[in-house]
Amino acid sequence: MNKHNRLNRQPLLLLWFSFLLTALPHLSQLTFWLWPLLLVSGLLRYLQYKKQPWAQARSLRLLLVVAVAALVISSTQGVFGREAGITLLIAMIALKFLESQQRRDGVLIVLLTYFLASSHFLYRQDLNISLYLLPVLLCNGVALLALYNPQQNWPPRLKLLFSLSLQALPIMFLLFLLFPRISGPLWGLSNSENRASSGLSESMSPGNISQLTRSAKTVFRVNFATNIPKANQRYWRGPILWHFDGHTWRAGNNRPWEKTQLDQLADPIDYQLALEPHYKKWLLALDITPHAPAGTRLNGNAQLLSQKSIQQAQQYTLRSYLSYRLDLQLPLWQKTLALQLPQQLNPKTAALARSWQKISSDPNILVKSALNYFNQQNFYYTLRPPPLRGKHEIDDFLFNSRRGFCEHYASSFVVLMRSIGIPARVVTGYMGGSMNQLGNYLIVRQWDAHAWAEVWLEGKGWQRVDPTAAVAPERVEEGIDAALSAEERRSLGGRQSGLFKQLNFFWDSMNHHWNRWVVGYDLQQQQHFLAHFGLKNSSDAVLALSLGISTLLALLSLWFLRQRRRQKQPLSLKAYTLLRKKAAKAGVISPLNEGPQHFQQRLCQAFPKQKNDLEALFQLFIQLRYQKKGGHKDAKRFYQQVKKLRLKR
Amino acid sequence: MKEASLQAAITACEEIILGKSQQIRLAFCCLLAKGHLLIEDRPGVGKTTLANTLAQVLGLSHQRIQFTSDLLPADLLGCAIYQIENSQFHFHPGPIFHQLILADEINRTSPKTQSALLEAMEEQQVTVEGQTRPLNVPFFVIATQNPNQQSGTFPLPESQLDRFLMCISLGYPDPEAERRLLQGEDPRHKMAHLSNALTPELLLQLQQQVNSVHASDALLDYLQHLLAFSRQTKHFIDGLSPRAGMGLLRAARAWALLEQRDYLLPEDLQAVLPAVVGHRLQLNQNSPSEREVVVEKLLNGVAIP
Repeated sequence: MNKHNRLNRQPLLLLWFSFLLTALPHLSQLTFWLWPLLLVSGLLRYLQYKKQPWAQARSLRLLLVVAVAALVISSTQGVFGREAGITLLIAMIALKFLESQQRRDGVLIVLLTYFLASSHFLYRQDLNISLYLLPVLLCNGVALLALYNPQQNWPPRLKLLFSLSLQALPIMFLLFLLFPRISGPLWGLSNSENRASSGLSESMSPGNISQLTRSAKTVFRVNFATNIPKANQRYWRGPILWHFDGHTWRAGNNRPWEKTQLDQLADPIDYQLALEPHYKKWLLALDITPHAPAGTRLNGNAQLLSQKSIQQAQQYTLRSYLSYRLDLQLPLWQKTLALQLPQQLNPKTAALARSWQKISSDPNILVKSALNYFNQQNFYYTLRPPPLRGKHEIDDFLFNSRRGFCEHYASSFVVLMRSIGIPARVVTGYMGGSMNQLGNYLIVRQWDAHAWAEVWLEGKGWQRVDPTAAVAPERVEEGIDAALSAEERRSLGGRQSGLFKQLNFFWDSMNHHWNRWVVGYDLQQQQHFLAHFGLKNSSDAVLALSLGISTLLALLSLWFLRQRRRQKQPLSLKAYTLLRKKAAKAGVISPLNEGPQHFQQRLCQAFPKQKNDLEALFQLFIQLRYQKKGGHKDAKRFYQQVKKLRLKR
Repeated sequence: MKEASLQAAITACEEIILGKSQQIRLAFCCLLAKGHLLIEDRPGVGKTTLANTLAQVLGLSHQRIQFTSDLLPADLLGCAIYQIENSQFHFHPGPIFHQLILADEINRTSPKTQSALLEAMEEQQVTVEGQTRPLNVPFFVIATQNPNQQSGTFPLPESQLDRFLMCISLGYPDPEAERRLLQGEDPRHKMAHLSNALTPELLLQLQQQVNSVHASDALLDYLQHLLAFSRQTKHFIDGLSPRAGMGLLRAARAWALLEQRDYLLPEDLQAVLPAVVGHRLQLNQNSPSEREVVVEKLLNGVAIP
């Protein structure tokens, strides 16, 4: 084997390190046996390096390949799909090390590692992973450089690495801007539908939402174009729940949206909603949005839904109206749905509601009575309500435990209303959110999750009623932290302390920008951007892309050529080049292999009047270049003279 | 003084060999550079006349050796003969112990004799009967050879061609020169009246002076680019050897001296390039390479830095 092509120790170690670094984030979410496999292959490669004959046996590698293939198929149910593909890739790269003895094997590993690095984006596209991959890519680059020049010292190698990376930046930028986008994620991420992720769901049982408040995960961010509504007006509408079985609330109305459902819109708010991926279809719009942006639709509950589940950060430009009238007319079948209650349950609750009905039959007054009841009786707003006992859960809550979170209040309020014939439903979503002063936008996190109620009143349509506000008005006015007891706040962790909060805000605003400008740069944004340059479709973009890249490369190479020439060229030669250019313009073209004497003769023939000047000029040049007489001053003089020279026939 | 005598010698030569001033200058250049000259041409174009004229003008002792197929090395180098008077072997020096040797039709003799001559050319000494004897100084060989295609020849291999600093060909004279030749006196008669314009001592001094011609970095760059090009390009079978590079530089220096300069210009390299390089490079094609084409490829392929 050629000595120069052998894979040396240092590049091999760098390759291994780079590969491990690249695979690391995958390892936690893929099958467990990858860890021991990596260990075994690393150990075997070490033994190979130590010239252990059995470690180099071909049969051993064959055995490992077969075993790994079997493991992949058994642990991921087939070889198709994201998990199986990436598992196979990692396993095979690890095994590739065992047969890598030459430089070209090393290069192959480098390329595979680059590919592996890009595979992380099949899972997530957030700032964290991108920042993580940056040093990973550099490390891989170092490994590549080391492959070709193992003896190189570290400072020049790193310098080369950075200069190469910097050269790649403009190309990366162009590719980012112009490479044709496809709508939706690159990979058919079908598996992730069943991915366990915390967040709202299409059902609600006691304890669901209070669970969510333990999570600080960002749900979405909002940039307001107009004024920012007050905290108690920021109800972000999520799934609307109709059907109650005594324990769990579920959706249960498939009514399509009709334009006539909304009227008397006022107080418009314009904003941009940047959603984090939550793998569900709904958007969380401010109450209430009459127009669905492209790719989304409204359903009969005035809830905004995307056509596809949201698997990557998405941005929507929305307009909401704080004041509105929803569903002035309620069809009978809707009314029936909105009055549904489980049979034979919660008799005490029904009795309580009926006792109010005796005083007044006006629905407005009945709503108020219920809120007054929550307000004046001994109800507590708490994160850790005791579990509700018995099959009459609402009875147990209203008359026994009286400690609950928003879902308890919303649920029992709707049950109260329904039992006296007032149509009502539960609305889940988020409430409030905190402003990030650094980026001047609103962050809504999981702990802002909320549930409230809507009642349908004759002549008014659906009206939002938030029973939590009756129990703990601070929750609505100032956010969840203000509504909790000091002890409960502490149990959530120190999420409000000064410096930490600032850092948090900073990091979040970085994330927000990343989502808005990098991940959010989708097909529509790209079309919008390209329209500025008169590019209508993606084939134009491809054309522009290739043109842009080739122009860039041409400019770069020209620049490098110039740099190189400039480095080598002394002033006298530069002036001589200028002289040749001038002569060429005047009609005397000097080939590159013409010596100064011949050139002088031809010039003197062409311009006999300037013979003396030219002879002096050439004399000077020959002195400078071939006699090594004269210093920088003479060179400068020569340059000046050439600059002044005007060739006339 | 030295330079004036040099120019006088050149002028004298030009009067006898008409219309070949470039070749004469190259021959002088070769002489000044302490190299040996190979003249490759058809019979009757004045090869021998040139050699004789040079010897005459320079005042060198000279000997012409007609190479034939039965010539032996001893005929060239000399041999020891037993003398009865004092019962001893006495060495009779061969024609090689002259200052200027005209080796006529060198490719007609056997390789054995060829190599004996070439060894002497390179080492400046010969070893006969176990005794090493130095050759005369200056020592200058002008060899002539017929084009290789002619029958009954042993073409010199590349390694031996490399020993000659220059290879020139005289070619037919142009009509004007030929008319003067036909009209004028027989060159042999003219030669008889020729007085020597240079002495061997002056020649040695001039040869010393060649070494002091200044070669700037820029010029050495150009030379190296030429060498590198000859090695990298696909046009040639083999590139130029370092010996060829040194020869090229020495010849160019001698040329600069002839041009009465004490520094080198790219033109000097270009002037001697065809003669120095032509016989060393072969085009990478099956057809026999034309010398002009070879040199043109080299000259056009390299820019003056």
